[in-house]
Amino acid sequence: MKNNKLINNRKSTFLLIIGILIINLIIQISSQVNTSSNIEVEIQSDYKTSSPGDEIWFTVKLMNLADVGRRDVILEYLIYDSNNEKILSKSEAVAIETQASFVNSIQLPQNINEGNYILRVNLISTEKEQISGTEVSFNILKNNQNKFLLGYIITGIILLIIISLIILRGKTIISHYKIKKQIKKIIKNRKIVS
Amino acid sequence: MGSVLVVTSVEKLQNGINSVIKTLSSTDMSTVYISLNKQHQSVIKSLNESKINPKKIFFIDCISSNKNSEDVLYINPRDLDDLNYAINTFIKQIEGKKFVLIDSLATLLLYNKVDRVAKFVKILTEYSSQKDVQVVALSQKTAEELLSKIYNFFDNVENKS
Repeated sequence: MKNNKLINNRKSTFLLIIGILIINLIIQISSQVNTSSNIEVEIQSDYKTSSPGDEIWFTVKLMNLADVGRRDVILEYLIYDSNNEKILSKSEAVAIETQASFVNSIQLPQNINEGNYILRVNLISTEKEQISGTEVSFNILKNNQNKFLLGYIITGIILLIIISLIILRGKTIISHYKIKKQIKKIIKNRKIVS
Repeated sequence: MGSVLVVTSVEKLQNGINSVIKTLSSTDMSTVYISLNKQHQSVIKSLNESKINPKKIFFIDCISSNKNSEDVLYINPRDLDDLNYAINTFIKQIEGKKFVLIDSLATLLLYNKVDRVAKFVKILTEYSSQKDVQVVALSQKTAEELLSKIYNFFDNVENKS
């Protein structure tokens, strides 16, 4: 009987410990879920379609963070291509409280291919644990470069026309000045002779 | 005062010019002579033969390639803008009464398109009218297309065929 009681007590203790561990785990998980749902990233509309070599600008917003007071975290920015291969990454340490918003940019490589890409932002604790993350997609087109090139060509042509007009007008002014000078000379000489 | 277009045959052209100058040289008017047919030395020679004193004649020579006289203004007949400017400047600079003689408009067609020549004539006649300067323009009657476009710019048209 005593043995049975002892076994029952040990079982109860074991179950209690397991229960405490489970509750603790649930609290931790629920805390993480709350936090992870509160990061947003938005690429500004002008940069949703960019060109190789462009700098894309985006806003990261952290909201309703767990009430842990002021703390330092790391924001990690990663760009993946459509095959889920990492193209580049960048990270920075920032200080946050209950809410924070950051504007940042990433310079795209010149040799990046056209296609659909994903910008992933991870919120990482100073202990290197990922707290949460989110992502947004954007496109890369090489056409934009052609548009810039066309713009430069048109500007160049306009400048060339303006310079040509200035030169032509300048030539006319110089020509008229010479004519006027010669006529004055002719009339002056004629007066002296007569 | 006014503008006159004299339409004549090639043979009678020089006589027509001498006749106009002789009439005007008897007055105290100064002449701006735009020579498009002959070099100014040839014109002077012709005037001397007709016993006309060229001392009140200012030459704009559009023919000579040798610019050897300081008393003459040389203008390329292709530069109608320069030619107009030169005529206007002479009109402004010469004191007293003056008139403009063009010998002859049809020659400008060798160097310019007919519409450009017509435009040149229009600007010249309008400016001369504003400044109360008489314009006498001679032209061979063979330049029919040009003549049809410029008749209206002149106060009088004389046909001496």
